[in-house]
This record gives sequence, C-alpha cells and structure tokens, in this order.
Amino acid sequence: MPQNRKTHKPKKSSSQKCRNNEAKTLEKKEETGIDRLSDLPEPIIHKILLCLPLSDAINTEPLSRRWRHSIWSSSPILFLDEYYFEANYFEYDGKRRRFAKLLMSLQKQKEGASNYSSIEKFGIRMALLGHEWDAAVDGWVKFAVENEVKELDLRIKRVLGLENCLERYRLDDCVFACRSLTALYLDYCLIRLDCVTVDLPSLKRLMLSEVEISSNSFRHLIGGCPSVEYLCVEFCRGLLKIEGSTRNLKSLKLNLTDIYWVSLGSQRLESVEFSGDLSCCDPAILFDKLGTLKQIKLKNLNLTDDQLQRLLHRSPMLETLIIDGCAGLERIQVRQKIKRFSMSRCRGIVVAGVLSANLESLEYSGDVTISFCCRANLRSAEVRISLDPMELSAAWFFRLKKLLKVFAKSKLLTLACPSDQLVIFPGALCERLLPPLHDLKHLKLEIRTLSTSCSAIVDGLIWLFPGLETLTIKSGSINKLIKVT
Amino acid sequence: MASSIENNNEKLTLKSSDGEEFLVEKHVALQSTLLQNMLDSDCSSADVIPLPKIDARTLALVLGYCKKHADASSSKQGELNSFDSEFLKDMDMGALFNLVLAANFMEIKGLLDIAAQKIADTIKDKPHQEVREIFHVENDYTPEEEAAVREENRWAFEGFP
Repeated sequence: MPQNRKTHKPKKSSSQKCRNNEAKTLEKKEETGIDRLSDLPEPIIHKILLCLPLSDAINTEPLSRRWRHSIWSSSPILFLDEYYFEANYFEYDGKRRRFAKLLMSLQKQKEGASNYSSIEKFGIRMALLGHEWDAAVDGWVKFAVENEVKELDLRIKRVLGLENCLERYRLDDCVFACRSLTALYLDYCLIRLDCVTVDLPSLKRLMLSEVEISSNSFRHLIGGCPSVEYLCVEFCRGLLKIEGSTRNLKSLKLNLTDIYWVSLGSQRLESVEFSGDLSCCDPAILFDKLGTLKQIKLKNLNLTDDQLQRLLHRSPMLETLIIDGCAGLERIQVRQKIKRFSMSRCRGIVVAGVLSANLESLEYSGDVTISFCCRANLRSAEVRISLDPMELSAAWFFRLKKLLKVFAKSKLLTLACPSDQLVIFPGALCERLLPPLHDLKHLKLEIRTLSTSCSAIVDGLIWLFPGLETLTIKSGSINKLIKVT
Repeated sequence: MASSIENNNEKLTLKSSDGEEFLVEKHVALQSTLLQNMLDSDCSSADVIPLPKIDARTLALVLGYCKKHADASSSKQGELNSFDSEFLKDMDMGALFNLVLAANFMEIKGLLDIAAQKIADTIKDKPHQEVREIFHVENDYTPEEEAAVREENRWAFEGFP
C-alpha cells in the first residue's frame, strides 16, 4: 500500500509537535484509559485488519499517524487507487497517466522481489482510457492470483478516450480459477465465461455492481462457487435471469430493475435486500423459494401494496421487515411472527397495521399523518419515532398526539427530532389536546439541538404523560436520565 | 485413540505473572504451540513453566478454551463453534485484549483467530471517530492532515454499499 501513496508530510516543526503529542498522550492515558488497540503487536493488528472488509480496514488509516504510516505500510493488504493520484474515477482526467505508469513500474519491482510476503486482500480502482493500460491491470490481477489472494476488489471503469472505445475491461480468466479466493467484488468489468471453467470453491462473498454479464455467464459463474453465502447483484448489464444452485446462500442483495426471474434454490436463505423497480413483474412469480427467510429489507424499491402483501405471504418465518424509501406503498399490513418492523421515507403511506404478536421493536420515520393500527400488546415492544416536519402548526401537534396515543402502551418510546420544540406542546393547545396519555412509563428523547433546559422539557411533557416514570434526554454528549416522581 | 489419551495423562504446571500456579493436563497444554515446542525440546514437564506476561485471570480463561478444544473430538465442530461464540460474548475490552495477547504469546491459533475477529467486529461499520473513542486512540493528526487522509479514503464509502 505505501509505495503508491502520497505522503502528507507535517508542514510545521514536526519534532516539536511530536513531543507535544507525546506529553499529551501520557496525560490523556491517565485520564481516559490506555489505547490498547494501537499498543498491540503489529502482526495481531494485521490479523484484526484481515478480519474486516477492505473498506472498513482502510477506514482505520485516519485513526492516527501510527496506523497510517507504520501499520499500513507493512500490511498484507494492497489497494491501488488512482484517487491517490488525484485522478477522478468518475470522469476523464489527465492525472490518470501518472497512476498507470506507476502501476507498471511497481509491478516490475514486485516481480523482481522473490520473497514478497503474501497478499491477503488486493484491490485496484481506476478508470481506463482506451485499451492502453489493460495489460497493466491484467498483470496486477495475475500477480494477486499467483499470491493466493483471498479478497479481490476490482473497480475498473472505461472512460471515453481517443479510441472512442467503451467496451468494458474484460476480467482475466485466471480470477475464476483462483481457489484461495473467499471474496470477490467487481465494479464495471466485463465477465464472459462461455469457455472458461469456474473453480472458486472457497468463495463466500460475491458482489457484482454494474458488471456486464449475460444470464448464461452468470449461471456458469454461480455454478463454480458452491460455497457462496452472500451474493449482491446490482445494475448489471445483460443480466435478466438470476439462476443457479446456491445451496449455502444465506444473504442476497438485488437490484430488481430489468430482472424478470430469480431462482437460486437455496435452503438456507435468511435475509434479502431488494431495491429497484418491480413495476413490471410480480415478486411472487419472480422468486421461487422464500420460505426460510427471516429478514426482508426493501430499499428504494418501487412496488405496490399488493406486491408487498404477496411477498410477505410467501415468507411465513419472517422476523424482521425493513422498508425504506418505497414511495409506492399506501396501506400495509404486517402480521406473521415479525419481531422488528421499521419503516422510513415512505412518502405515500397512509395506513400501517402492525398486527404481529411477537413485536419487539417498531421504528417509524416520516410524516405524522400516518395512521398506525397496532395490537394492544405493545407492552413488550420498544418504539422509536423520528420526526422532522417542514413546519410546526396546531394541526401537526394534534396529529402527533394521535400518533403518540397508539404507542403510549409501549415498553419504551423514543422520540428522535431535530429540536425540542417539536415535543413541547404549545401551552395554548394543551386544553384542546386532552385527555393525557396515562399509559406511557418510559420515554427517551433524542434531540439534535437542545434549546431549553432538561427540567423545562420535563415540565412541558408531564401534563401529556402523567404516568411517566423515567425520561432520558440525549443530545450530543448529554445523556441524562431523569426519574420523575 | 483411547491409549493415546492415557499416555497423555501427564500433567504440567504453569505459573501466571501474578504467581498463581495452574496444573494442566498435557493434552490440554498441547493446544498451545509454544508449550508444545517447549515439551518437544528438552524442557521437562516436571518444571514449573512461568508465563510472565499472562495474569491468572487471563490464564484461567485461556486454559478453559484449551480444555474444551482438546476434549472435544473433531466431529463436534458445531458444538465448538457455539462454545467459541459464547466464550467471548459479553467479555469486556480489557479482558479481550489480555486474551488476544496471551493467545499470541502462547501461539494458540484458534483462540487468536476468534479474539481478533471479536475486536474487528467492534471496529466494523463504525466511523473512525467512534473507533478512536472506543479504544482511546490518540489523534495525532492536524485537522488538515486528517481531512486529507479521509478524503483519500473516500472510495471506501462509494460504489459498493
């Protein structure tokens, strides 16, 4: 990782600053505790990094200088990103040439070094200009495969160059015979597997994003990955049918736009996440087996009430349902054995019936105009409501009270809002908002900006919730538990 | 199989950094590559083996892990897996760090693997500021440098969700 990276040299008297930092570190250690993570021997830290997905591992670099300069420079993780050369993956940029040249020269170095320590995780991100640098990328991919790479992350895009060529970078066949591979992430490449044998017995995680791959090649690919547990397919070109035998698949993430058939024959599928457009097909036809599902997440999925009901009907074991940004939904009804239900950013929603007897957690973020209909046994459920209205009016407070009435019987009610003004009902309205909600015992407020004192909030709320026993107010670093007597 | 276990019925004594002595069956101690190497060389099992870097509380945990893994046959992999996940559950960070260091020192690969994974799980999906807070990592960047490093690593949060 280190060779290809810009180094940020401290600009001002670095030795002075280091000494200051040392003094500060000692002080701080006594105050708050010791940094045992950074104090671990480097081989253990590398081991920890290898347990993380590449993106989380890279995210430890900004922790401190030691992480960036010492821990990472000896790490068995190598990621070459043209962004370090200020080239922009998303548009044509002349700085790319420098990065490509570096790829070539680094590679000669690597090939020369006989006892190179193994690479566990390897990644490249760059946009190719014409075909000029394809060979350099191929070389690196082969290098990683020869070093028995376990995790490969390739984001290789082609931008319009002088050759006017927009054909995607074709991934070298050697990747599909890399028996050590446990995770493969691909962005914007071309996979053509007509006469290639796929042998990826260790592969557990496969992510394809914007990849060009035919339905046939996909089936071929999946056929060679018997251990796959996590599969993510999004925005792929040429892929209409997602078909294959994935006996061990546990988790599936799909963008359903353009896809008309999904058949994966897994007996162990536990969670799915869908996005995209379902407007031209029926999920009940789309999927042949959903009986083992425990979790469904629908994110920015365009589907109708009927389609959702059919999807839920086919998943009798469902425990978690998360719906986010599905604007087409108006009325939904959740039964089954659902333990966790979460709904956010569903602008069209009018009525939500949550009739599960097992409900443990309910989260709602959106407008207060919604009507919730819940069973009486909310006693065992924790409810979280996030409010962010455009403007506060008398009508808004009336609707809020109506919403709170449904959840007053819950075990713990959490209200998250940008300002405390949203939960302090205007004095002039109080009389018209009666009767109070006696059932609520535990309330938690998560407020972004606090404008009054905690005691003023208690005073402002107690008339509405006279049965309140505890109130927790959380705002930034403030986390105050108030016992109401 | 049975006879080999009987042969291994020998015991040896380990001494923790705070002076507590642990009597351990040999086949349990063999889970540790360090101890295995010591026993293979001329080190007599009659001697007390000092482990100056490991306190009694951590050593007791380590030996609990070794015993479970030494006693279970390979066919009970599922049982071992659930033991492993229970073993680290609810463990505080201090104990976890002691454990990872002990596993590293004693060369107990399985234990090192699960302890490292547990620490990794704590880091995963968190912004680096939060990781810093949890582990008390001192931020020695200037704000400008930190911004530059974060900007470089922005790719990690783009493209793939």
